[in-house]
Amino acid sequence: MSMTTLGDAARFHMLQHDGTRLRQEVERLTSALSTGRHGDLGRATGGDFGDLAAMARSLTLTQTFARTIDEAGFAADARQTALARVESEIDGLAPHLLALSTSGGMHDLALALADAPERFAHAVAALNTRVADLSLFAGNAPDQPAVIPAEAMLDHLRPLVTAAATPQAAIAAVEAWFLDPGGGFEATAWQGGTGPAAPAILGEGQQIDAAITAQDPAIRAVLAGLALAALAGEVPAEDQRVMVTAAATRLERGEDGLIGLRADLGATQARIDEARVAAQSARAGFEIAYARLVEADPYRTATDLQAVQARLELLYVLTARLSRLSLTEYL
Amino acid sequence: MSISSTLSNALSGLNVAARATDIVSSNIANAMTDGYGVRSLAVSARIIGNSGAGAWVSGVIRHEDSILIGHRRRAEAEGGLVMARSQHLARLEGAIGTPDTQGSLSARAAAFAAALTAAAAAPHDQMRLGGAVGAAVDLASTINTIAADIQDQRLQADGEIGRAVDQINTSLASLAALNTRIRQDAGGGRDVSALLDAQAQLVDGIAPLIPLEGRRDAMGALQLYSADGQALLDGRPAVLGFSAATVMSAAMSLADGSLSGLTLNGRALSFGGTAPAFGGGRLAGLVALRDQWAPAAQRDIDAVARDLAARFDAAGLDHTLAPGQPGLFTDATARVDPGAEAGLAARLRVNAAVLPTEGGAHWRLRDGLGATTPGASGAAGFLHAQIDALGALRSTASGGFSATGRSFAGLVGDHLTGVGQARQAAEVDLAHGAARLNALRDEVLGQGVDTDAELQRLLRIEQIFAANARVVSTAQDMIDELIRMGR
Repeated sequence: MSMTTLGDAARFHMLQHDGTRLRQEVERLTSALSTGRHGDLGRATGGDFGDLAAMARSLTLTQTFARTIDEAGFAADARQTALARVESEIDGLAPHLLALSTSGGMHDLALALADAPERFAHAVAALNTRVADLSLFAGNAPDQPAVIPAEAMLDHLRPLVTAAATPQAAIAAVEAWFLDPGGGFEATAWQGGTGPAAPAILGEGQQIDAAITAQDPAIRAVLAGLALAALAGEVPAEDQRVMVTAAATRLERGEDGLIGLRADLGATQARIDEARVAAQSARAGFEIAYARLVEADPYRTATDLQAVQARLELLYVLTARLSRLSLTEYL
Repeated sequence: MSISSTLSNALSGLNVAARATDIVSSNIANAMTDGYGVRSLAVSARIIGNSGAGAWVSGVIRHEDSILIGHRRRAEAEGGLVMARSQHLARLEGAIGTPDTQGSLSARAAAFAAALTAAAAAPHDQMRLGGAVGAAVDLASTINTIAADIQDQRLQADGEIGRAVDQINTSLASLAALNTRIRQDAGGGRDVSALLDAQAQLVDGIAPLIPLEGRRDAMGALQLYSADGQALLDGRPAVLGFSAATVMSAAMSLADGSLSGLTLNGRALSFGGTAPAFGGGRLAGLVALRDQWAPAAQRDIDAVARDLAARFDAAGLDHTLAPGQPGLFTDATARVDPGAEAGLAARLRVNAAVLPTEGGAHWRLRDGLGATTPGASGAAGFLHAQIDALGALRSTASGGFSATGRSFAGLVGDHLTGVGQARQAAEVDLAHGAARLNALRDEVLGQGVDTDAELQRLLRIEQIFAANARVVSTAQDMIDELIRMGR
């Protein structure tokens, strides 16, 4: 056959192939437009998933961190409130007692000491505060109260006071019970765990030890002062002034310590707040970067779709024209 | 010269025209038949003695550009190989999952890290400990699923090799039978075009599987060789031997004899080395998938599983465990042994000590896997140590990974990237091969039946037929005239 011909099948094959390719393209673009994502993420990233995986991981973790930061903030706020309650019990008490112990009458003194056991009980109760069924000052045993109730503590202290020969000895015994390492407070009153509480998690590798336990020296000093004041009401009148003076000086020292403690806690709260803001902005940043990788630009997709649609329509027109353009039609 | 010879000439012309319409109708009928070679008539002048005696059909010519078709078949084989590789990688990437999908390996790894973090922030919380254990189970089962998918791919490839071998054997036998008929018919001077069409279709069927070289001997019989020179059809058809496996596991391989190799007439074929048998077709691709690509993917996921387990097996991480006891992730129930890494990904489990369903308890994730009684409910030390173990830079010891220090998340990311980039490269090859194949197909099909040309030829035949008929009727008139004269 010397004549050059072009097989019909070639034309059909070409049209069919082009049509399939265009329809696939339409399919891909429509899906990208309706889901807002690249149909084939591998192609969009060139197969390099390193960044995407890191981004997706950070997004997952920041959601967890948002939760742990909120919890840490909540716990720190609750601790601050509880310490404020302790402080309110001793606020102004020391100068008042001091003034009465030097110059006040016995009647005034008795009146001032009358609510001391109650103040002690309130302070102890504040330390045993439970938030979300968690004990705040109990170290690594948040399921336990931090300390035994105030009345139980006083029950332990009374024999020490009555056994002491002098008021000074009684004061020393009470103070030792509260403050000495391995003393009565640590051995019998402390109900919390032996270790520190779980640190608060603010971010990847960012932890802060926000927990204060009832074993903190400042808190123990406050408790010792309040216990002395509570017990002063029970000792003979001639010993009362000595004990009240001792209670007042310890309360003064304790209040300073408590203020320091609350200042530290305030600093922690500030750090938690900073971490919250940082986590939120980091999350927004990750989300934007992630979207840039995962999401298809709708404007571009729509433009591409338009172009492909036009080409496909043109192909249909051509197919129809070419199939009519046959000698058979004219014979 | 006589009127009767005129009549005879005209009749031979009519005869040729009739045969020509036959050919045209056959061509048009087969305009869409694959492997059909366009026919045309070879017509020559008949000579009797020294003078012409009309026209005769000296033969039917079947047009076929064997070089072009050879190119197309080689391109199809090449496409078959690249397709096998690209399908394997696409499926592997799908099994591992891209980071934006919930069940992907990297999403599971991130979810596990997040669940451990949440538990460390509130170690007393049973729900969070349970959540972390659940995330560990999910992570382990995702690794199991990937390993199972890899072995499933091997099993499917093995089955497809079996079917391909059957198809090749059947086709070669049919081709040999056709060769016999071609020799007979060609010897008898009959038209063998239909037999050649049938052969072309059969060869096209197996062309994507093996790159083929074909030629015809003097008798017109087809000889087929693979591109690497193995005789597939040379007088007698070759017989390929293979027995497909019914189950598949990472431990099964060609080397240890648990998987079948391919034989050619009983001789074992080697698919490795510098000159692999049948190199370049889909069959070679399937063998490579079964024996090289999928095992390499298995080694990589095994390396990921081992890295994960080793992080939790590190000395000094868990003081409640005696040396040699397994950490959070185990090989079935035992400690992961670096020496028995093959197939680990399928056996990776979470330690039963933390699974209530297997007699364990969630709190061991907080207090140590060997702890006998729960410790302080707020202790976060061990949980933090485990988070640190997950994030620690650890040199990857096995698989196709460089020995760089990586966190577990980094290793998972590198693992996916390795597969993703290989897939993109394979798809570029695939697109390139497809474009080449398409161009060749277009060209081959372009030499097929052109109905316009056939109809034009039909018009010419019509004219010639009418002219010859006119000659016959004129001769008739002349004879009639002579008869009238004689009356």
